[in-house]
Amino acid sequence: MTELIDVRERAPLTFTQRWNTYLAIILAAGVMVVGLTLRDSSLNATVTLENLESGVRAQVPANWLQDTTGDEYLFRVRDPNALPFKTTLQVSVLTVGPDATPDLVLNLLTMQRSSRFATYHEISRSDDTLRDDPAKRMVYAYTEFERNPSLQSLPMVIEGVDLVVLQGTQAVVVTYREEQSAFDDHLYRFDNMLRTLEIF
Amino acid sequence: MSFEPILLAPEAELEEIYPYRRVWRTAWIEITLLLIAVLALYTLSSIFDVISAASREPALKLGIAGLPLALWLLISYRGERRAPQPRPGLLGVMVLGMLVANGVAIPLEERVFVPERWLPTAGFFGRVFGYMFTIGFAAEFLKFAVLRYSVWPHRFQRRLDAIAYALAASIGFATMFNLRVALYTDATVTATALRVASTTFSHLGIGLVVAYFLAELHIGRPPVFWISAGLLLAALLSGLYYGFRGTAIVSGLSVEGTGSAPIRGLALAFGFVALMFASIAFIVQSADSRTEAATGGRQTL
Repeated sequence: MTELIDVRERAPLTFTQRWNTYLAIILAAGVMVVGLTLRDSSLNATVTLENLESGVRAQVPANWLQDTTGDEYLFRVRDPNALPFKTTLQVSVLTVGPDATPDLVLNLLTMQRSSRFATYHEISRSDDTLRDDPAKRMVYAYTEFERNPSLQSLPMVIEGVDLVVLQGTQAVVVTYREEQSAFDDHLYRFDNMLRTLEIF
Repeated sequence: MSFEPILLAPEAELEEIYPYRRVWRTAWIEITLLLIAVLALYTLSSIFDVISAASREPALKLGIAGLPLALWLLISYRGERRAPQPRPGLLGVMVLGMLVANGVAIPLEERVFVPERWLPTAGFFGRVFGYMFTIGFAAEFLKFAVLRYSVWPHRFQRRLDAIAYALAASIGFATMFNLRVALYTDATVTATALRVASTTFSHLGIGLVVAYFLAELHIGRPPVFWISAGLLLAALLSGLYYGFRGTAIVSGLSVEGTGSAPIRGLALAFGFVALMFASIAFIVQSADSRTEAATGGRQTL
């Protein structure tokens, strides 16, 4: 049986062959940048949501589910793709008396939630500002159970943050809630909404 | 005096022995067998209910995920070993395809581009360009890198060699994605089979574009942006495939509601790979004929 042995020497690459490779690598770097830009522009795209009656306007993530029909909030947006908990951003307005302070509003919220949310407890409270107005920030946590019993999943720990700012006889409460392990990763969405929040 | 005519039998024409494995024949057999296997599984589970439609049997899913690789090993690789002049390094290229898919492509898709978070809800052109500039280009560039830095140019004697090596790299690449679906998702057996067929067919089809452009870079005299153009074309085809797949597998609106049409997705995937095979085979044959006419013989560099 004849065995073929490759004895040819490897010829050096030509100018065209070398530069084809270099350009392909440069192109790959460029396409990577374009791909990341497309991803970022899609994931971080926002739409304006406003309530003229209460005078509140904010930029919220596009493609999130919007709800403006709730009794407890002016508007709420939720990420439909988030698992296991739908990341939530919401703005609500409470009518308060002339002597109200942000601390009193947070106390009221804590009392209401203690009876509604399982194992609700406050983690921290700190001073903050919203467009130079004094505000109060409160971080809290509670557990949420899967409502569908057939899924048989463990309870989730939900972490939330409220920012309260007073505007005349109104207290504007901006809220962000997320499953505890993803809370810090998506906190930028809350900060983005606060930066674009207008109370007029 | 009479002359007896002497009858001479025409000299028997010796048939030229083709010393290489016939790449297209084995590739067609593999994709047809994969299609038949997936169709059989779909029929058994969705129509005759022999296998439960909700079955998530891990061993069965793993078997389906490994089927394209098994077919390639049994048909292409075994055929190559039996050919008088086998192409060396085919198995190594396949393993390299698996390694770059597992080490680079999958982390890029899952941790960097995360297309499932933003592309499924985009419009048709958004999906096409989104997939093109992210996972589409990344996959084709990685296959190019595998071929470019392992067997190109010294193993590319004919254009068909490029096809054989690209199919090996693509099957390795697709296998890692198939295994990921089987091992790490909650998909049913039927859904896994449909996904395996879709992934394998698309990678086999699009990988041929890179192969042809690499072959021409060695055999022909292409311009300096030849490979870049080839990669962009392959990525665009990838984007178009994903774009159309999204449209195909979602059935139309009706009074009964909306639903998925998995068989349409399978038909699209097979139609796509069949079209790619036929187109690239035609282009390679035409290029070989032109080279033969120019050089006066078969091109063996």
